[in-house]
Amino acid sequence: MVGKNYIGRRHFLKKTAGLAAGAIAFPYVVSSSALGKAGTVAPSNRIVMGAIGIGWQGGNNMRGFLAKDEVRFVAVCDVDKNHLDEARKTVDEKYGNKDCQTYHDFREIIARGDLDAVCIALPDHWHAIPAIAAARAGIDIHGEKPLSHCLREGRAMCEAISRYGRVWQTGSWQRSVANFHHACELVRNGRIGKVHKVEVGLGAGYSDYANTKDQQTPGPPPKELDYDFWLGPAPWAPYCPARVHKNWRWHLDYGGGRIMDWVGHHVDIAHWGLGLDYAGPVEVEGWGKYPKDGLWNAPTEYEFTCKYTDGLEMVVASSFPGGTKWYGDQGWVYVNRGGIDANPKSVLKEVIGPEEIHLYKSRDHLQNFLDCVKSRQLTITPCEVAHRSASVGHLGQIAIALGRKIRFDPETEQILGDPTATRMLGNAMCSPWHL
Amino acid sequence: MNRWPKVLIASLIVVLCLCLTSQVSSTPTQGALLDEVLLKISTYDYGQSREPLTKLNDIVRNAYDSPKELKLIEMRLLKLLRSDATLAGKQFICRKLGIIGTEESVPTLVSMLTETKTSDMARYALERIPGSAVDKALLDALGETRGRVKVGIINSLGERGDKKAVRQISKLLGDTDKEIALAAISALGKIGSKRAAAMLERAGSKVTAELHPVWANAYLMCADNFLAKGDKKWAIRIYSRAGEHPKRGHRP
Repeated sequence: MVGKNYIGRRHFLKKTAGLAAGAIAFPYVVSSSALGKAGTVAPSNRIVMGAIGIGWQGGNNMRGFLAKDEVRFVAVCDVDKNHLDEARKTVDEKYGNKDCQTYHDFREIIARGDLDAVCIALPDHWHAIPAIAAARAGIDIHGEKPLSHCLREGRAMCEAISRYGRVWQTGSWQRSVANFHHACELVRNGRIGKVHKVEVGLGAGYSDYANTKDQQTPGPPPKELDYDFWLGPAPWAPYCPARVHKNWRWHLDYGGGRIMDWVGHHVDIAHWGLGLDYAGPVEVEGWGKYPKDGLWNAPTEYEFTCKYTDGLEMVVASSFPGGTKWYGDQGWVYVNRGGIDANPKSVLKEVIGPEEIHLYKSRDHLQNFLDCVKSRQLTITPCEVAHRSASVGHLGQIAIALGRKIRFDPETEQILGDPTATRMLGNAMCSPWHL
Repeated sequence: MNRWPKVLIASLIVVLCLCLTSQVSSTPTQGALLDEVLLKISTYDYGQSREPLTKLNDIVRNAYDSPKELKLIEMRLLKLLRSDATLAGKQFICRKLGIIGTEESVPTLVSMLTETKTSDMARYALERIPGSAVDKALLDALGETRGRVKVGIINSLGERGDKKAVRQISKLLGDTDKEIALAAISALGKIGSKRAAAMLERAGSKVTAELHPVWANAYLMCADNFLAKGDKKWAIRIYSRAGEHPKRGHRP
């Protein structure tokens, strides 16, 4: 469905052509920013954007893009009216008008036809469907990590992005931060020798981000929230505050607990440092502890080991400090959001020479997306790379759930010799939703 | 007449029965625990303690390496589904059957498939259970259903990539219910066979502008599928025809 005040680009150009002719007869003041003067961006070079899911991280992303001169936000979409009203107010205040359109249904904002790009930040169980729909409509996408809710959805997303030649950036922004970039370049260039093991710490337990942990009694959803739409493809369950906003990720129907919350950051960095962006483990084995009661059911403690083809081991555990630590035969490098450390310390002073491996450099994650929308180049966190990072988490979850080792072919993305585990690669969706 | 042989035969029969029973339930204590847990799940509702659900998870996890134990569990789960257990309890059981269920689950699940309240939960199980019996059951149910129940069944047939379903799904490409037409188009793209591609091609000129992006995607999925299998001739045929179609994309 097309928005009420929708104006197609061609229609807009026809109308503005008329205006240009009229400007000769009637003096018309055009601001310098509209003409692209004074360091601003001309309208023809602006990236027309919309946002789908604007409650928390989505709101942060939207404000980040809104601060960019080359972006023109025209529409926002959410199933919660409170989120929608707040986002529209933010956009309208920025532009000093009341032009921002609101949508309840992602299919409607996508069908506007004038969007160059969207930023999508929804619960994990809603990652694939809108992203694939946006790609199909020729829209570039900034999407949140983890890429997908299950491995098969991730593959379907990669195929759609590739099929339609869309630019994709995942919100794995650590790649755009200097210490992570530096750590990965040190490891990639052999400063700690041959790496044989990586430890990745993703955290334990749950964080009650919305202060709703104790609000688990089913009840009617608030009137501002279209709860059935929020559930979408997930199995039906009654509303309670602890199930939805900010805390959904602790329930496996909508998220993947700590593992999937962080896999798109620290495992993503581990892969980058190892040059395994397009690879995956061949064996995964581990354990996890699930809560015996309560609404939230993601593992609270866990440890799983991924083996790669060359014998390299990646151990992902709730007990490790948050971050990524590579062990080589000449030392180690550890990186997290607090900084970078190494043994020997002299490694930290190493300079990467001009003939050595220089990784993709970005110092402003959202800007990198916008630059790539214009250049049509791969972003620093493209879809396939995010899929490979997320796959580690998905396979870890399966190994934990089964309580046995699984073998995986990263090429075909099939689990080998284990039909039960194979069934866990995908989820059936509630009607009418499908990929 | 000596009665001892008869007594001996009767005793042997009893012993044989006990042996057979123990084959089904090799660990009686686990069987008792399973029954106790399932009894609680039969009255489980949302918002109540999930403890019986997590206990069943543990029982199933401990049985993953034992097909015999899994079979026993499957039979007991099906018994619960046939009872007047709560919908919340049945939903949980269906999701377990999605992981451990076999074709023996099909008759019980099919009885839930055509009912609005239980159709999705039956699909959680059926969609993942391998075997032609599931394909046939889904296909049979297609003609008996409408609305969202039908949409769900089409989606499951598509996910399973059931080539035998192409003929029946093709008949739904022009359905007046937009969601059914949309599901049918997508399902053919996922099945991705030559027949599915041919049916999509034939329907191309009749697809509404609103459904056209979904149609184009399904058609291209067939091409991608052919290309992946090395059938370049069909892939090129589709790639070139998709580009020629008059209703390209809906971006102005």
